[in-house]
Amino acid sequence: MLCTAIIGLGALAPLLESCGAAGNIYKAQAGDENKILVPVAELAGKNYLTVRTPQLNNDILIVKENEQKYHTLLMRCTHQDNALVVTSTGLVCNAHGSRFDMEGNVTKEPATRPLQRFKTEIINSNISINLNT
Amino acid sequence: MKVIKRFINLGFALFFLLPPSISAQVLTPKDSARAGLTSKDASTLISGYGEAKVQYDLRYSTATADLTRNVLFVGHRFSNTIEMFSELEIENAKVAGGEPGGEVSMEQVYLKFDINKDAYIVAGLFTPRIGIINENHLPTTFNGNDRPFVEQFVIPATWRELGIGLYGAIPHIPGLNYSLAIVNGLNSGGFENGTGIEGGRFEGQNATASNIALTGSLLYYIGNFRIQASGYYGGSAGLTPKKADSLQLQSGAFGTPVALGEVDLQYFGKALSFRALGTIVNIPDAAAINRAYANNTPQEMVGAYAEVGYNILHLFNNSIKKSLTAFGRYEYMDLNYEIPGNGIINGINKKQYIITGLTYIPVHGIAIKADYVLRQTGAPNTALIVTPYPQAPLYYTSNGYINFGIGYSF
Repeated sequence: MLCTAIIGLGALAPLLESCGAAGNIYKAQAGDENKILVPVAELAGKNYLTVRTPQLNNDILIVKENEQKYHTLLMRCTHQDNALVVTSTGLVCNAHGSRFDMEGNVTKEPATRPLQRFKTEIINSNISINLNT
Repeated sequence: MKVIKRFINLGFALFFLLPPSISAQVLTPKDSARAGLTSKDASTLISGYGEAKVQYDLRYSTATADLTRNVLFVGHRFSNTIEMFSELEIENAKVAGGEPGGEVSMEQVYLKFDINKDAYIVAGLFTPRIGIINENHLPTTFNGNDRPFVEQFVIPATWRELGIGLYGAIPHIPGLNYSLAIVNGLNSGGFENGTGIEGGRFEGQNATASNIALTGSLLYYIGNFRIQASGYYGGSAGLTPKKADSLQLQSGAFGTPVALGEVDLQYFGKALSFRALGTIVNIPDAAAINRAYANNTPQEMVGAYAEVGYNILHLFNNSIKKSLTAFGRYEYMDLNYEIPGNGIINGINKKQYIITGLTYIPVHGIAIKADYVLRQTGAPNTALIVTPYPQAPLYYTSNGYINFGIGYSF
């Protein structure tokens, strides 16, 4: 029974892969390995957007400060590197309960350091995220 | 001045003479960030937590001090998709041969395999997602010097077993997460009246895989709320069919089952916080277990608690990083909620706690705590004491404790 269960878990993987990017996750195309470009239009009517890129193990959250200014946060918990979940009020870690606000500051332990940020600017109607910063 | 200069020069000399691999082998998270390493390059991670407390027993007018626990976490990334996590715990500071007290144990050791960014598999010794404390038990994440008593006695955290688990998020429903795990079952021969199913855990040591357990959870984040429901169903015989038959227990993967259900809700505002949890454990074959092991196993246990906290410092400065949380928590549990025909009721298994206190966090990662605990139970069943100790102190059904403690995590 245990073997059957393990095989069953493995069989779920392709199904999960096919779930892929839902409407709330933007799949960035692989391009310049140091930069990600996301059309500003993707954040029309939204306060934040999750960006998925093959260049990083974790997603990036774009947060709209106003129509001309955005900042980005690496969705990786600074406690033990677990992936974060985004809510309308911040980011949370399933592993040990750490919470961060939309600026990336810690609001609840056990994480003690803010989230990593990337240099973000608007270039030609695209939000340019520099992964080297 | 000459002495200072010589000391500085010696320091530089030692630094350059040391093999570079020593300073590059182990990186704290801070080192990784400073070195500009991305998650693809980071290798080994060190983390940990610990807590200590002093407790004053108001009835007996005695006090105890204890280094409750110290945990060292070591993690290592082997590749972009495979990591190892381990937690080594020492309770009560030391383990000395032949002396009571103290425990050294592996709290978790598992490999994590990323399937994609939305799902991963863990395999090894891990704490399944049941309740709040089982995963979130660092001292800087809960109020009071003691973990909630319902989650110590009924659930019982921290509960870790060997197995394999699938964890993930549902991309089409933002905020919804799930877990599904198969772990080894319990040992009903280890159940003890008054401690629920705690004594039946294997915790990674020579666990019988003849019976297994399934655990699952749904976890949903919406705004400042965290809502979770989890369940557990597993066998507790772990015996050969012949031996199980001789004890009149059901053998097999889910023989002599134990079922647990739990729901909890948490809210984290800028100043106000709230958490509530309810749980129930059902052991349908309790009568058979009692007949086999005479351990007074209950058929059903229930527990619930609710806590409110408020960061007082927010009233004076809502941008301050420090917090001073005043909290109050009420807990209720009945470890004899239902007993089988061959069970014996013991009044002390019906407990309620009122806990109130302060948690001061001067900087993230440090907690300084003070609390008062009022414990009330039913009267003990003296018929269960076969050979009463003549000098045994009186048992008080109502007792108060004052606790002071510190905790850290990094």
